[in-house]
Amino acid sequence: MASHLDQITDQELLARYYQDGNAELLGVLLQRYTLLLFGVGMKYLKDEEEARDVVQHVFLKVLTELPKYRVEYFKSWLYMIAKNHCLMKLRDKGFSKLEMDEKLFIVKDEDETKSWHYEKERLLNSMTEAVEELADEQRTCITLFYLKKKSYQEISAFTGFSQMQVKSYIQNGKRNLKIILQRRIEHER
Amino acid sequence: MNDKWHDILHKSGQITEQKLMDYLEGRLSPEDAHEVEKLMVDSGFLDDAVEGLSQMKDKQKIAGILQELNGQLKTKTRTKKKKNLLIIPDQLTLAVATTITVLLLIVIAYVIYRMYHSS
Repeated sequence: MASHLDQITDQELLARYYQDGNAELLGVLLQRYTLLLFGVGMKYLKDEEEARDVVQHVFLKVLTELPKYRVEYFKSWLYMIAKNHCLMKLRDKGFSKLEMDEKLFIVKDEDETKSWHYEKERLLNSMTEAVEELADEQRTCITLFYLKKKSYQEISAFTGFSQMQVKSYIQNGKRNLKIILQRRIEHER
Repeated sequence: MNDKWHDILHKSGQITEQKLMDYLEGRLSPEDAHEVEKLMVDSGFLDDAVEGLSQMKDKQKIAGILQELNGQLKTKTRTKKKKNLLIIPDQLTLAVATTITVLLLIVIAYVIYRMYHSS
C-alpha cells in the first residue's frame, strides 16, 4: 500500500484519511516524520530510550486525537506535540517553570516565511540596504550563506566562528531582516 | 527586479531520510550540505532534529531504531484498521434491518388498506 502513496503530499494523505478514516494512511504520513521526531527527542532529552518514548507518544497522540479535529498544518502540529512533550519531561526532571514557559512560546511556525512571499518584489528591492543594517557577524554569515551559497562548515572555516555560531547568526540575521523590512514597509505607507 | 536575494525568500521543499542521513554522516558535497541547511533555517522542526541526531555517537544505529519505531507504528495502524472494519458489518446490519422494517410497514399498510376497502 505504502509504495504508491510515496508521491502523495501530506495534505492529500490527510484529506484521504479524513474522508475514509483508514488509519493505515495515517501510518504512511507519520512514518515520514519518525526520524525528525526521534531527533527532536534526542535534542531535548539527550537519551535514546526517552527519544523513542517521545516518538511513541506522538504516534499515539496523533492516532487518538486526529480523528477528533481537522488539522491543517500537520507538520507544525507534530512538532508542537513532540516539543511540548519533551519540555514537560524536562519540567518533571526539575527544570524551572520560567524556562519552560519561555521555551513553550518559541515553538516556531513552520510556515514562517510564507508571509514574506506576498510582497516579494518589494522586499527584494530593499534587501541589500536592509542587510547593511545587520550586525557584522550576522551580515557576514547571511551574505556567505544566501549569496555565495556556502555551507555552515565552509562559513565556519572562513570566519573562524563555530558551526553553532554560524547557524545562530544566520537564523537571527534572517529574523532581524524580517523586522527591518517590515519596519521599512510600514514607514513607506 | 533585484533577485540576488531570491533564496532568502524562497520557501524550500522537503528532505528525504537518505539525504538527511548523508548530511549527518558528512557525506554531502558543500553545495548539497548548503541545500539541507537552507531547509534547516526555514524549519525549526528539521533544525531541532538535526541537532538531536548529531548527538548520536553511533549514526549507524539510527536506521535500526527507525525500522523498529516504524514497525511498531505499522502494528498500531493495522489494529486500528481492523477495528474500523468491525464497524462495517454493524452498519450493514443496520441498513438491512431498516430496509426490512420499511418493507414490513408497506406490507402492513397495504393489508390494512385492503381490509378497509373490502369491508
